[in-house]
Amino acid sequence: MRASMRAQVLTTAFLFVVAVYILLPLWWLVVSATKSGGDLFDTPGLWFGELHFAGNVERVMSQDGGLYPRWLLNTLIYSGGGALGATLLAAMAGYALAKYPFRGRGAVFAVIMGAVLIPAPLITLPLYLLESRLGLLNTVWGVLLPCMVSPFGVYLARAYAEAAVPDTLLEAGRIDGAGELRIFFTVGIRLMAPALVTLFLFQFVAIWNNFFLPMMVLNDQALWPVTLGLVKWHGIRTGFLRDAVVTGALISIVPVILAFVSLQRFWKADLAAGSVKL
Amino acid sequence: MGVTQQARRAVGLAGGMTAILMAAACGSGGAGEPGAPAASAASAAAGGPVTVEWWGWAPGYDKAAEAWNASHPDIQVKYTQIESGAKGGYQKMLAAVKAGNAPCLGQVGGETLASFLVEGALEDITGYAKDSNAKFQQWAVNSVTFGGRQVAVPVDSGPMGLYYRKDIFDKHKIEVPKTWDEFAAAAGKLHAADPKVFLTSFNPDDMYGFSGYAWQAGANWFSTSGDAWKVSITDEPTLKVANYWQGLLDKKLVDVKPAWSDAWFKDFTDGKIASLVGAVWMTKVLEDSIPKTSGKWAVAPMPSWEAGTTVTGNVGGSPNAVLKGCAHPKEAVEFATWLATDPGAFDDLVVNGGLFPTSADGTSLPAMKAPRPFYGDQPVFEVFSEAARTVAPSFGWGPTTPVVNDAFNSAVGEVVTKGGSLADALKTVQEKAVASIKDKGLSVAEG
Repeated sequence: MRASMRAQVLTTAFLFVVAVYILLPLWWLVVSATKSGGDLFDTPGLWFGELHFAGNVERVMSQDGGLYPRWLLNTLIYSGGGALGATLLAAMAGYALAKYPFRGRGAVFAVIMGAVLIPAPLITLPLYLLESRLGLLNTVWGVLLPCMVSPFGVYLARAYAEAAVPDTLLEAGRIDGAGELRIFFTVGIRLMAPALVTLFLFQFVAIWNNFFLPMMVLNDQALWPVTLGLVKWHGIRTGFLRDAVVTGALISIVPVILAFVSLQRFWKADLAAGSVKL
Repeated sequence: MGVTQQARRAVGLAGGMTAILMAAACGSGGAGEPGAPAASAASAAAGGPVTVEWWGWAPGYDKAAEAWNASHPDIQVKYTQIESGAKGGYQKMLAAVKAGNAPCLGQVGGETLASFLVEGALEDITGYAKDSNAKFQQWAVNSVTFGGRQVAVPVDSGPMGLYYRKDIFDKHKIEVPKTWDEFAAAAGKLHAADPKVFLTSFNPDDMYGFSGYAWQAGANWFSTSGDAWKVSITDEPTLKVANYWQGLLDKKLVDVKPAWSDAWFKDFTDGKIASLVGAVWMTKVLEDSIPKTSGKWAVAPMPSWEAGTTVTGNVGGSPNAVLKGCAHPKEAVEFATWLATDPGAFDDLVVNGGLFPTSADGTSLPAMKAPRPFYGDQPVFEVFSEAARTVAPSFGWGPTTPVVNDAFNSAVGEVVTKGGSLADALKTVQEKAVASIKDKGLSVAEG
């Protein structure tokens, strides 16, 4: 009883420290977003100065002729579209690798696993040269297409499909006369849903934070995602935009938090549903 | 193992040499002898307007391009703002050169030109630029010339000056130091008068600031002789500077907060750092970062090593380079020269971008005379105009500046936080710089 009390207190204290460690930068961001550019350095970082949030938001929205909302929308398109595409492709590939025995299945999977090990920046230059030939540079597709490929997603989908999609169920579907595509979309994909939500979230956040690929591929500022825009503002040494950078950063994480909070619920519910049904 | 490694190194060396040679060869091949101006003008007229693509990130460039296009229908400049060099802009330019779709003109910092050169990414523009070089300060032309080949057109520069808190100096009856000796004496006097206040800071992570001090003292960190690089980060002027700051560090007479940190700016706001020897672009940085101290600052010339002489250091400056594969190098150089030397164009760059001119008569621009309230209405650019005329002509950068930067910041940072000698730290930086150049397969001349 006593030991468990102590363990409880220690655990709580430890988790509290971890929480503080993780939340402190976020707190700094929230506090700093309410300050004017000068106050950022003139006042203590972790507490409020003069309230200037509305002015900062106005500056974020109007700077560079109001490009920020456009950047945010672009990021949503790249992240949402890219994650959706990546999830669908990975689900199909993973499902196929798990459920259809075919010649060279092991080799295909080994190649995909190999691709997991290659860091994205390493292939960005070859990608650039490839896209240059295909005329995809400085287009939305130049960012979207590479983002729709997720080797790790294929691995995850395959592992999950193997465990969660029973062969007997597929057999039943075939006996009922359903085609393979219909079985995949009505049975397979639904059983894989918890893994697919995870995959979607992973990919969504990865694309949201992606910097290097869009930096290389895009020239037109109207096509930039928000990461590029913030780095550009941050890089301007004269005519400081620090207030705009900080406030812009705060606004840019709101959609990610929303995506997480809303999808996580969905994800848990599916996990629970799965465990009851199976 | 040994053999393959050696073989690899040999291959690398050959590759690197070819890169330099190719840069040279293609450069001169592309440039050739400058065509007679009349003939080129005729071809431009005959072939319709020429489009020159231009990538950069300096504030004010977009408006400059618009102004040029309005008055030069035959040569239209298409400007694209990209991420700044260190944030990926350079990688993007190099990738574009490889893909064969690079812009004609790209903003490439003086510290990065040499790495572009060894990548074979630059055209030789000596032939096109030589007639207009008289419009620039000589040191600025030197800084874009490697082994007699000019690869870029200078634009802006960062001559240094002494920013100081007039009120604090007055309060403690400290005269504005004219020499580094007086500066050290002032550091002692001020700290004794108020132990909470330091005369200045020595930032543990500011290689560029330190390079400006070394530049003033007459250092030349990187140069070429033939096909070999010469690295002299431990040359006599640099060691003189290191020993000087070592003395102030040992006596604990300087603040040692990291440059650009919140804490550093806070010390400025709180009046705990009373002066700063920095480049002209700090003018705007201070105005924007520590507005509460507005009106209390003033600017004087950089302290000199010998009484009665004025030699100034320089930090920063981004020339425009003509990138490999440019179809209209002559027009690109023409535009770049206009950008940097046309009084109207540069006056706008000063106002919109806070850029400081490298042109010989740029220092007489109207924008140079504007009084600035932050500095008690002192027209501070006049001080820097004088300074720009006295920038030491010798300093050069090598092909691996990011490596040198990291090596410097880690070695010198350790000296500042844990103790040790700056001279030893510079030795480490020198070794790493030499190794990084050899790693690129380039040869390094001993000595």
